[in-house]
Amino acid sequence: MGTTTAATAASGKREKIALLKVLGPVHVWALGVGIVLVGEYMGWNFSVAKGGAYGALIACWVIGLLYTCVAMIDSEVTSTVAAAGGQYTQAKHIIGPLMAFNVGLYLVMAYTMLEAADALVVGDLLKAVAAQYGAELDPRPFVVLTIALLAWLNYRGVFMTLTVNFVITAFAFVAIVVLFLGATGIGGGGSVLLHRELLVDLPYGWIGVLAALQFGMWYYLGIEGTCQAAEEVRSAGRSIPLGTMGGMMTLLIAASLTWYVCSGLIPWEYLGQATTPLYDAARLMGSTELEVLLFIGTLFAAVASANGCINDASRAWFSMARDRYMPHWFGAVHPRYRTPYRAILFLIPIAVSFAFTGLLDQVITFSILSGLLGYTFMSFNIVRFRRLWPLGSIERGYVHPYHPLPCIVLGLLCAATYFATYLGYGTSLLSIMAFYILVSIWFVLRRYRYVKRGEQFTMPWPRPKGY
Amino acid sequence: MDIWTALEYAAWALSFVLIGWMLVDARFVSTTYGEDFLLSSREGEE
Amino acid sequence: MDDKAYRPPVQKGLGQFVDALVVLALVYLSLLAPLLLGGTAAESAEPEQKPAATWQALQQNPTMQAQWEKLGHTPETAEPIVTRKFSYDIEPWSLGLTVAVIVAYFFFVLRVSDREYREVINERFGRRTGREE
Repeated sequence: MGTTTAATAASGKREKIALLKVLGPVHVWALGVGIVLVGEYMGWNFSVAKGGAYGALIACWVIGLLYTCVAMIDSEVTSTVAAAGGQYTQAKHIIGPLMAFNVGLYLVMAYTMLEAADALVVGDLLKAVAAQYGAELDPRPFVVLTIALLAWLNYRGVFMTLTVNFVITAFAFVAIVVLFLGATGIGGGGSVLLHRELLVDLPYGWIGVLAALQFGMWYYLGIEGTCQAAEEVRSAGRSIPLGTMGGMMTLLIAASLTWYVCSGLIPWEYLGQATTPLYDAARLMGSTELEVLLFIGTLFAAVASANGCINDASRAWFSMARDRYMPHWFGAVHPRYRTPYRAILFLIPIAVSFAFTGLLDQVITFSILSGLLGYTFMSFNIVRFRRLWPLGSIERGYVHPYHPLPCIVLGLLCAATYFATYLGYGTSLLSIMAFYILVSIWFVLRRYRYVKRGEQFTMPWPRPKGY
Repeated sequence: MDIWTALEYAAWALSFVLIGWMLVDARFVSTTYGEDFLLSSREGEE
Repeated sequence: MDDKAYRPPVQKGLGQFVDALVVLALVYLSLLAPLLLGGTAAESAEPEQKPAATWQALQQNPTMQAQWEKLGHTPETAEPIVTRKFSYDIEPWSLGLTVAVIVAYFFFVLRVSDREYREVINERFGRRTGREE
């Protein structure tokens, strides 16, 4: 395939190249859940520190509602705007170029930073194993290796990348279910859960519950990344809504099980600062098999997440480059593997540098907040989408019910989550906003002049109403 | 040199091999194919 | 399509490289900023009166105590974890500033986007002669 297209290209004929359409709903599920599931293995429990165990449970469900709205809205727009840029392409067609530039950056930043955090987790896990054998292990080569290996996998083709992701994500999910069965005694043996003794009242009252919303996002952060596969799935209108909604259900189950097991085994103060809460829960149950299972589960979840993040961040960067929002050079497709290979390569050193800054707290907050800014965008994006192209004026792959209720709920919950971030992480919030403001000014004053105007509107739609 | 140190070196080495392979391949692609062809992907086209 | 479509200049390699670097530099700057401005997670100061490190003083019941011990903790090592508390004091001034910044950001982005969007639509679908309705 590669050589024939090359020959025609060399002979001067205008051959075109595109990403490969090979994915099905299962890959979409693997991409969405794969990125997120690591949040069940670690990270969500910081919400316990901010609001207590019950606060974290309320946050889990409230944020679950936020993400259900996200999934519904996103499925409608993406099943209609099927392109690798995902929300970036949506913003470009529905709101306008500057918003699109910002959304594209939300995606690249959120995913690349999450990837860095995932790779750090892999390094720390291996370090912990070595420590059990009394050895001192430098985690850095393993952090780099994780990023390099997954980038290589992504470089060589999307089908293999997401098939691998499906296998390891499914394993990590099953591990949580097995732990739940073991802890509750449903799988044989008695229950070892001690909710009655361990659960305490809300330590900070209701403001703590509100503050917990910030880290409650970990349970689901990244599920909206399914959109980035849109240009590579065989039938986007069907696969994306199916994979996304299926993924959301998986996550709601996994999140509830995780909370139930962890809060029934671990005192909340410890849980609130634990690095690997599910693994700790397995340790407390005193079963070597479960301990090993959850260790592998944690490792796989982190790898799956980093893998999906590379996939999504590179698609977003590639799409922006294709429109010259970012240097055009990155908009290249590999003639043989049909992947955005330059974007994948470029993001390797960036992810490594994020991992080595030693500012993990900051990096994670940046990632979460970029996600949150993206959800805020979605809430008004759908309103405009329905206004500029009312139902019936264009063909939609999926129409979400109860509009405008989901987008109102989404907007309100986003506001609450900004407030939650302000509680405790106010300085970070402001400096991240400063970044997006500065970069927007830079785009308007310098970068936008390289962008073709009419050509970036690529959907075969009629003129938007009112313009 | 104990096994853990050996693993560290192996991880560094493998990382460099993988990244090196990608760089060489990217270079090869750039010299074999025309830039216009590589950049010919357009949003919304099959 | 409009005859007078906007033709962007073609960017040279060096310019592309510089542009990618500018974005990266801004990212690192904003990652470092909170460190330079002092502190990320706002936590309340140490309690003035340190209680003796016992499980009772840390208000851990026997079950909690057993779990802590299984996790490899003693009252001494658990104490900093248990006594660390967030402070949720709301300063109206900084809250107001944060709200203002977020609102101003979205207002700015949406205003400019709308202006640019009209240009895109006019070039893509041709200039509208009269108002729709």
